[in-house]
Amino acid sequence: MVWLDIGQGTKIAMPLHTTEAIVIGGHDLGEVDRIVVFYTEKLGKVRAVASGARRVRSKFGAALLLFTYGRLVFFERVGKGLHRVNEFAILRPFEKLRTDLEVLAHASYLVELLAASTSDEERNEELFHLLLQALGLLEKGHDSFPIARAYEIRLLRSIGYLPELQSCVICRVPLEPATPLAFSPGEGGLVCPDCQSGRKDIYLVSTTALGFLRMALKLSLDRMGRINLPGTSREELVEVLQAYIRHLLHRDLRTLDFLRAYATLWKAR
Amino acid sequence: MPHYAPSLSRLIEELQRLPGIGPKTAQRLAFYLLKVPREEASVLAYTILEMKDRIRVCSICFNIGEEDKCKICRDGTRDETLLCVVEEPNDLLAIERTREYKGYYHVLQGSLSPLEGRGPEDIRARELINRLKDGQVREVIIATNPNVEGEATAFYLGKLLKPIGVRITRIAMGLPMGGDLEYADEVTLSRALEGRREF
Repeated sequence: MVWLDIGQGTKIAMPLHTTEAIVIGGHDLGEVDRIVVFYTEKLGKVRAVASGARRVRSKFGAALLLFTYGRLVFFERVGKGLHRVNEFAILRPFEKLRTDLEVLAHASYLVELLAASTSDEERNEELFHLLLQALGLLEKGHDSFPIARAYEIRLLRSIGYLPELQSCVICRVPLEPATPLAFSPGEGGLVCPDCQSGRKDIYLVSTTALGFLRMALKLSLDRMGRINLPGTSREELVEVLQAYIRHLLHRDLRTLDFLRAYATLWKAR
Repeated sequence: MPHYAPSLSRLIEELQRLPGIGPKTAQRLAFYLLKVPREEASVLAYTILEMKDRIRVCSICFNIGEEDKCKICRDGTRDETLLCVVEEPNDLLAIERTREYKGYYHVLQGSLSPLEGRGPEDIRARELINRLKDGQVREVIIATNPNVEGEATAFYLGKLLKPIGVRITRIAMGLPMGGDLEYADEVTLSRALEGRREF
């Protein structure tokens, strides 16, 4: 909120906000407008109408393309949900994320997960910086796999849904690294061998995969991006995290369908 | 809508389904149609049904027309060595308006979008490859939109068509005519610099 001095010590509130933001989605509105979804540093997820954004000579130019990081100025329309974009100045376009289909799909997954797991206008600076850092690493050409998995577990912690990774989520017994472990998405964490019997919704987790998840909560995303995981651990991590996320969101993310279809088609060629 | 007669209420509801039509506009259009003579309303209703019955997708380029082959594919005077790939029939019409392009078209009927879950199977890419098999086409011009979806589609097609050995070009991107250089954003301007040509 900006306070405007109208003289004699009186200030009135102007519903004008300035914040750093990343474009995480959007769709067309009417003939030339666009609704843009931003993840902002100060206000979390914000939806705003960019008038005339689809015109060839729009003042926004390429600024509102997906992943663009910039300084957003928008007018708040109290109680209406949809605000109005006044200005969006590019700070970093993340253009390389849009020039390779596979990188684009992985980066799209990061923003889709963030959009799906957060509510509008709930401030979370940690998530903003997590996304900014992850996009930066993908643009630099780091392996998208460890970055995406570390991003997932850190996002889950930040929104309050960190799965139990230290002790059995059912009987609370602390788990030793050598114990054959399993993960239950429904229970929300690791399950000890005694509590595993009879359960159908469990996924086996190796020590390597569990070690990765625990490390991802402590080390920087940059360092996690350099970790080289064996194929089996990769498969386990994808299975466990995606089953847990599906359980929380009650649906699959669209980008995952895209990645699967793309991989299948490319392998078939 | 408790105050409207049921038939009027139904019309307002149906009009609201159209893109860009909100409740107020739907209400205004419905009241306009209420006042026009019956014949005028019949012509509109008949025209919509006639369009639905007669319009079909061209079996070659996937443009829309009223015959099995669209008007452009039937035109034997065009340059058969050029093939312009667009996302939708509207894009084809925009290029036709330039009167610069004399080749044929291929309409993809969509674009790739990871966020919308639209993958390679959702566009007419396989049909495009089949069209290139006879070797007549020398150049494929990719004219998808200059947005994330259009760029993703262009990169996909580029990768897909490369082994065929045909020349692949992408329409130029950069500054719009009549614009001011100082107001151009860095992404647009860098694209304009990349795509500069000999003067």
